[in-house]
Amino acid sequence: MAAEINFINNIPLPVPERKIYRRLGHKRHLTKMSDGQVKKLEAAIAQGVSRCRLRAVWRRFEINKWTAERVEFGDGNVFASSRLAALLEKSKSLLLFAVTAGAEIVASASALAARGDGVGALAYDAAGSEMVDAAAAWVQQYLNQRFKRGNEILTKRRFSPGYGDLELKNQAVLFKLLDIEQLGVSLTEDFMMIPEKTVTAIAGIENIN
Amino acid sequence: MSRKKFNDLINKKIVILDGATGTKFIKYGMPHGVSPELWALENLDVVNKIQNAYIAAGSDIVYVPSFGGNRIKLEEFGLAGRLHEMNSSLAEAVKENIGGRALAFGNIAPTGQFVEPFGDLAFEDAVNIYKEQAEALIDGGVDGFVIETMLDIQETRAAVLAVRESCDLPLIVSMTFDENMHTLTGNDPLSALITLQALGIDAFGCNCSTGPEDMVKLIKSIKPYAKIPLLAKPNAGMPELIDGETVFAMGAEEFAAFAEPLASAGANIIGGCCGTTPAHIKALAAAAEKLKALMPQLKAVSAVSGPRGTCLLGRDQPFRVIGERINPTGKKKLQAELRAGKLAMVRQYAGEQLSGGAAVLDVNMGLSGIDEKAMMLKVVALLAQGTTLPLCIDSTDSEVIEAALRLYPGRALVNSISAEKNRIGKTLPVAAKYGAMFILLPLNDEGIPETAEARIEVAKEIFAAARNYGYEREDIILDALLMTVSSNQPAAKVSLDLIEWASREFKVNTVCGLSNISFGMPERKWINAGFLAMALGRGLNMAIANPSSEMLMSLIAAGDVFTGRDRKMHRYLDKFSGSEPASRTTKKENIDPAQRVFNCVLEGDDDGMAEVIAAALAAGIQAETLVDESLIPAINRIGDLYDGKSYFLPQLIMGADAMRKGFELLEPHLQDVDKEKQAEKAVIILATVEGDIHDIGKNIVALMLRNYGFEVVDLGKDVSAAKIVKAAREHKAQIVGLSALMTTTMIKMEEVVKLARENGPGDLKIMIGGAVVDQNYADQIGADAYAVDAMESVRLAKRFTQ
Repeated sequence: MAAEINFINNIPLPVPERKIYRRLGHKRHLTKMSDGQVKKLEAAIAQGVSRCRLRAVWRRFEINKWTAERVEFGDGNVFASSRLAALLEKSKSLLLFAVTAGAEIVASASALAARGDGVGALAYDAAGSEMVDAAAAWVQQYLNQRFKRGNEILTKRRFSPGYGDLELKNQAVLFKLLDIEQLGVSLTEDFMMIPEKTVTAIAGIENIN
Repeated sequence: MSRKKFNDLINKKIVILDGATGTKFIKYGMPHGVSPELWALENLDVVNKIQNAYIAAGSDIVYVPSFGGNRIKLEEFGLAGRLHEMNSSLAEAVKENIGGRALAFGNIAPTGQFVEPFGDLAFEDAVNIYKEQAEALIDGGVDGFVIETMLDIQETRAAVLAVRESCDLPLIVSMTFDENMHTLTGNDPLSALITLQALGIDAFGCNCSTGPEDMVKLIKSIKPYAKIPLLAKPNAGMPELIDGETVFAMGAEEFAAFAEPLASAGANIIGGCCGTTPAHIKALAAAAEKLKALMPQLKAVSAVSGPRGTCLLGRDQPFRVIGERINPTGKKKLQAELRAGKLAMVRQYAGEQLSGGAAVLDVNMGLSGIDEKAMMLKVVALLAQGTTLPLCIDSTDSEVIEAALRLYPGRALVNSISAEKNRIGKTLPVAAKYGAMFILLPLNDEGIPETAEARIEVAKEIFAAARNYGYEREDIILDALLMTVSSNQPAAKVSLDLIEWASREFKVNTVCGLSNISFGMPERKWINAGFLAMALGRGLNMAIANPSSEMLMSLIAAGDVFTGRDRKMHRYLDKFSGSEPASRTTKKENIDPAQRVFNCVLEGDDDGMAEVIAAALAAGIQAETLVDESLIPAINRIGDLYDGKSYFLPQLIMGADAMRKGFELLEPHLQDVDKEKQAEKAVIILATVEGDIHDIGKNIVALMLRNYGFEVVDLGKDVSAAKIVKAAREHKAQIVGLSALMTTTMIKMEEVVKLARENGPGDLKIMIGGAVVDQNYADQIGADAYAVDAMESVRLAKRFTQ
């Protein structure tokens, strides 16, 4: 059994500023910046953040059969991965979701790099990466809140195609089941997502006893 | 039940709420995937059983099980057509069952959608959706309302307005904050409290998400700013994995032990959420019986809030600057942008004023040729998401103010209300409805009174009218009405006297539009600063000004030291402790010109490079000397700072950009021999390997190599081995740099290396980089080197081409 596909068209996320700095290599107690440098970088990060359009899609499926090596769910879908199976051992259902920061942030970062604005390109790239990561965590937290009313809880960890023994080609399964193209995301023959600031995830839904 | 009676109840005791209900339904057999509201309606015996158990345990209030009874949630089950019947029937059934033994509060909760400006659901649609449910619950006879488990301040505001516009019943609100004390949408409890208590709710607090321990901290943190009772409805601890099962493990006694800390922190209403049972509530009620709640001490709070931040005002708070720049008056470029419907400059001004130290942003969209209301709403929506600063809505049109206050997800400041009929008659009730603070302008339809005494009379008149709407002194800010000194010199003294009276006798906040004082004067900054210093001494605690003025902000910092607003001078010391004493500060122009070029690279100040290079050349320093003794040593110093982790990658690039700019500027002045040297650039081919689309790392490496004088041929991403090797041959490249981010694509690097060894230039060096590769992998595939970062790639390139 599969529930319907749900879209979230705007994720109201606080800017993960500290994480963006960390991704850029900033060390809180070591790095020293002048006011001019701070101003330049902050402006670039703010511009980058404003170019992220965070959207998500999610859908839940009943798990029909579980073994230590594979998980069957929905209408005949299978994930063959012992590590994913271990994560889903206590789950009755599973959650698939995808989050993207959209095409503009990636295109703008490339345009800046092409113009020779390395700081801007780097700031945009870090902002896009951290915004989409934070958005994925946000979706998980949001759905956890939602499921808790039904006495259910999401597994703390999430899994993605390409992790451990879950082959990257499973991106195609998520693409089909979530209709991710509606988020403006496409999949290459090598299972890369375009725009690249996109993540997909699988989590288990467990009952609280 | 009237709100007064509800308040009387809270004054008598710690009020006990019920415990978990939804999760109880599951225990009593509610299957997954059904509407809990419909299941409750069809299983009223279970509802009665659960609620009877809670009432027997000591609950003063039980929630009608109408949590998901709004149109959006019911539509998920095809039940929207039964909305009124389901909500009113549930309320009636609960009322009938409890028969006066407890109060029944209609339960309103999230729709699951996000409301503008943060989401797609129009704010008025959200209000109407909640209104529909509220009206049905009122028809069912509820004693009051609870809006609970809210994740977002704007959706909460919509629900509050819906209830307030439908009835005058008691209304309590609880939001869900995580252990870091933020909702999922980043709202903090203080801002939510300031915003919602201004809207006229009867109690505020938190439910779900955390256990009682975290809620004690949360309640304690907001109690000093609460003028309404506070509530806490925690889970039975956090879910834990015990023997392979996820459970709420906190037992009834352990849970009840938090009654005392919650009451001491300031909670007036307590209950339980997920994992709690009648046993938890019974133990909690028994513990609470012996406790006395702390009642709110404040009648009003001097504070404005946005969705993610609060600005506290008053005599014990720092002097506050209201940023004046988002106002098209006199700004041709901003006017043109607004007329074109663009908001880039608004965003820029907001960011700059935040960095400059503004505490609130004034927003004025009064401009001929634009729809002021539409543009105000657009800017409010933008800034609600784009800044943490609360907004000051600045308009003479009460319709514009009402539209902005209704949409703004915070407690705004209104600029302004005077005794003019239109303002006091129209704007005042609007400001009061949304609980906004306002700037009191002591003028009337006859104009601006000339004397301080006459202005005081007008101020008193406006305040008396505001009192009728529930305003207190803390809710207003008196404007000193500054007149330009060039045309009316004595008026400055009138404003100073008014400030003194307002702050010392009338005991309200005071503000002035600082730049008004200096219109028409030369060197306006001195007039502004002089007046500000004098006004600080008279008690002025706010100004509408441009916070990018360093002198102004420094003067304010010093003023806060003297007025005692900066206790122990911490803020002053923080601001200036890194500065050199004035007598020892070396003036910029006294630094050696070559040193200034060096500093410019070190600071990554490419914009300033033209000036310092020109100064150095004018001082007779040779271009070659500047390259050898300023640019190169500076970039080497940056490399050292980067290695020592004092600098990070953006600073490295800023420095390299500045150095490149320096080279470009010096290039025409270099001797021919140096130009020849420049022309012999080593060629480096860069590419992200086939199948991989990630290229930011490779792009940064390209920029750095170019800045260091290499000729880079960047083939882009997803590039085949054949294409890379062909390019290496054609360009007579000395180095190929390969990038990959995925384990699935890094294997393509090996293909490139093999092909290059077979068909590439004989002395070709290959270096690789990317998150998934390392030195071992480079060795394994036969690459010449692995570069951990862009700086290392420069070092390797230098080594390979020496």
